[in-house]
Amino acid sequence: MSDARTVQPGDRTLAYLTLVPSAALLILLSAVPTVTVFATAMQDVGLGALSGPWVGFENFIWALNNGAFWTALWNTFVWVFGSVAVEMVLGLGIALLLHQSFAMRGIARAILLAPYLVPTIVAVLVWRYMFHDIVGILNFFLMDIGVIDRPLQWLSSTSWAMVSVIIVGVWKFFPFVVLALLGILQSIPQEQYEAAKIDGASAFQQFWRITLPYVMPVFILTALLRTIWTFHKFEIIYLLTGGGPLDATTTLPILVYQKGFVDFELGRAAAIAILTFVILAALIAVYFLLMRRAESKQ
Amino acid sequence: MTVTTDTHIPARAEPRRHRQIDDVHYLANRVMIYLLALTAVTVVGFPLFWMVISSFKPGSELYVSPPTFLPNEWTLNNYRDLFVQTNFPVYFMNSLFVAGTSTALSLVIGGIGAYSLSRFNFFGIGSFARVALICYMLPEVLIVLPLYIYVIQLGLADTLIALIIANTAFTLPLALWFMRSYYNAIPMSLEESAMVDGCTRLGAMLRVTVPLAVPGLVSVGVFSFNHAWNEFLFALVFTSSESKKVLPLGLATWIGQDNIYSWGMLLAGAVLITLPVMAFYLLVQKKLVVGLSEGGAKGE
Amino acid sequence: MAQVEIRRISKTFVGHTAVSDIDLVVNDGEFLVLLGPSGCGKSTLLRMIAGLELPTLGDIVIGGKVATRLQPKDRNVAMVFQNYALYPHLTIYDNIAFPLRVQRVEKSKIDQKVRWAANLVGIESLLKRKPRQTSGGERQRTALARSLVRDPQLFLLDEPLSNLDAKLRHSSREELRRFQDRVGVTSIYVTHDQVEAMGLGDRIVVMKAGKVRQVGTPKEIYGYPADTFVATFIGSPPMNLVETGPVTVGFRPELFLPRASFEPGAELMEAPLRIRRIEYLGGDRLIYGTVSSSLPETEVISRIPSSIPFDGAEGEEVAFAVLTEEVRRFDSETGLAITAPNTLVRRAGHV
Repeated sequence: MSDARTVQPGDRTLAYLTLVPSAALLILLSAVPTVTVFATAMQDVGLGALSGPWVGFENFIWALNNGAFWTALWNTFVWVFGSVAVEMVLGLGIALLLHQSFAMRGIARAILLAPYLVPTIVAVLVWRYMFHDIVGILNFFLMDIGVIDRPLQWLSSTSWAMVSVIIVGVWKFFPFVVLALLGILQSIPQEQYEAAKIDGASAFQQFWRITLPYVMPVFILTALLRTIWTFHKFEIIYLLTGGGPLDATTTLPILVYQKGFVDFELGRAAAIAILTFVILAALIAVYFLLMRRAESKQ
Repeated sequence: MTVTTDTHIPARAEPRRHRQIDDVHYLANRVMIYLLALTAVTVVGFPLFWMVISSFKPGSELYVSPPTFLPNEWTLNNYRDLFVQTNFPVYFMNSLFVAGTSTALSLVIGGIGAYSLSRFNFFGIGSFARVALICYMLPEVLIVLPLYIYVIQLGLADTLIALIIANTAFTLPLALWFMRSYYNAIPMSLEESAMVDGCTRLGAMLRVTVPLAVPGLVSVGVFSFNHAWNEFLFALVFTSSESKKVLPLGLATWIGQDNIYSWGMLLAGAVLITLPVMAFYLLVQKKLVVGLSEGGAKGE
Repeated sequence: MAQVEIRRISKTFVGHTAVSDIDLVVNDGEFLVLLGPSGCGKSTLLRMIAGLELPTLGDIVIGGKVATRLQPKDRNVAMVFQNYALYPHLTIYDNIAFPLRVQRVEKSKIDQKVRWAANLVGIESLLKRKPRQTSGGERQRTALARSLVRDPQLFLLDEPLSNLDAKLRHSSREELRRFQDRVGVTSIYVTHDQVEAMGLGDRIVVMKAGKVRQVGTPKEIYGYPADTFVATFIGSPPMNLVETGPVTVGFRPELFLPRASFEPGAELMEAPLRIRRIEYLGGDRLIYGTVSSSLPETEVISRIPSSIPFDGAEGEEVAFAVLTEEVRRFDSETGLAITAPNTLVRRAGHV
């Protein structure tokens, strides 16, 4: 009986009144803009204008025939998979470490999770300082231990810029993975390990046969969520490299911004944004599918 | 499988003491854990350490190669310059206003909306929650184009109001979704009891459910504040004049202007942006723990 | 104080009927128990009386006033929930004061009332604590005190003892009843525990599958069950039922005793019992076995108090009997009692 939902006279009014503000905001600022962006993408919006004559799918065709779009798409994939792969491995490792008990674990935990709380602009500033060609500590340290013999141009060379951006991204966002995995690790019933020990399982076997299978559903969901979020991350790249040098770190969101607010071609920008969203929507669909399957398994 | 081979233990001798540390495997294991933990903490923590340390270095030391590790001379000049020579205080107040207002809005709007999502299940309410979650997944770069058009058309360009509305709309789906599951965990019988005791539905909600949901509201508040404090793209597109810049945008425009804004100032600014977030988090962490233990007593 | 009338109430949820066409009158000052297995609709009925559910059909009249569509707050009823529903963020004091605060009673009056109620249930020393710092029994008393402060015209209790351990349940039961006698408020009590129902109720309403099967005093229900469901639901071990063609006979285990223990000349129904197993329980013994010859072969149970000598052993066949006047008769087809239950209750002299 406990979850029987009572409906009394007046409940409907209350429900509608309380939901109206939320619904209005969501419709006006998510649903309507989504429609508008499609409309904009079908228009030839002139420089600095907000709308223009209808041109059908011309902007899409332009985008698909444009080298910049394909470069940005490739860059996006490098950025997303590079970041997420490292984040997941690092996140799992740190989560397993923090799951052990050791002295001052609380402090270690706080420091390891801190980057996630740090505002992006802060992460960018401190890493830019560390990446600096001349005064940056990173170059100095690497030369000191003999890994490199002359300063690397972290952010300003086409070969290193993407690596640098990924390093900062991983540093900033791997704690999310740690948090997600630590939660599930702590929920593994201790008896499972005790039973395994009595059955003669080695530490590695315990990890392989108990920990990993238990963690796997959450691991996959987390990886997918990180993929979706990393996909449309904008400011971390924009603030580190602005998409450069040349277009070495221009991902799709950066390209949308450049088309829309640097070149002021809103129609073309909208077309690219929609193409970006289509790829993203596929990922989101997979996410919901997996989530539903995980929920129904419970 | 350690089987003792010593069969000569006298029947009534002192009991033998066993220490785990005597086991070589155990010892090696512990050493490994500490080494790994130390490495991880050093690598991950270093940038933040470096930021704080460098913000106390005088200008001359920030540009020397090789860099000094600890400052030869500790100074607060960078912080002073930040307030005297730049618009940092303006940015800070703008950020505080935008983040505070949008947090309050998403708490009120999301807090009451989520109540109905949790307690009622008639026409369309279930799918409303799902639509909200999809909205949360919409990429900012997709939304920012049409919002830019609206902002211009409504004459809201270069105002903080535009930022507040956009930030609220962006955190609202999460507020709704999170609070709904929080309300779901609060037993219905508490509200029913309050209604039998003489409350209306609204009274029961305000007197019983909302006070119990405070830890959840606090989490949502922290999240919303953090989001608005961090938000960059909307600020970049919607605002331009110095008096309307928020912190991330303000500091971003300083990057690369070494002759006017020194690294010292930038890093001092970075420290000051981080402080409220950390303070907020520490403050709230305690409250969250209390809230959780309180929630543990529910239903009994 | 009030009389409660339940007029042809039905409640249908999506897909199933929880309560169907119930008519009931609860007298002023009476302690009425709704008894039945889980899912029989007793809680739903209680929640409709409280105003937490709207009946699909029918009306509820409290104190002469039709209350069917009234909000819970306008009914002046008090309810004790199964999990007590104490507000975890409020102290015991504030919990008890809650109904008064909601009604904007003046402060000094609240204080006086809270202390009176706390005193009545013996929790004066706990007032400053939060619910989670108290024991199960203390929580139950707090819930009781909270329901008291408002002078409700009707008390509703939804399995208030089921979260307590066995020992505490026993003492709480007694307290609860003493307390109701003192306050004298009309009370409706929901339980699935027949011992609780027998011990507490002035009258018991036995329900099954949304329908009332029998209403009566504990004695009537126990002695003259209206059908075979009531006969087996009440009493532990349940009434023995032996199907003899179109009529099923029933007799209570404690009245089915060795033939030798009856006075000669008593009017008896006799049957030999082949003993399968004997359970020694201290105060009495349970004999499991099979009756035969005069009755169709059926498994039955006999409960012999230790005051009656018995030396039968497992595997033996012993002559057993029951007074004819204690034998109940049911229609094998419908399960309904054939004997009218309004016969004068007489009890066998030797029990």
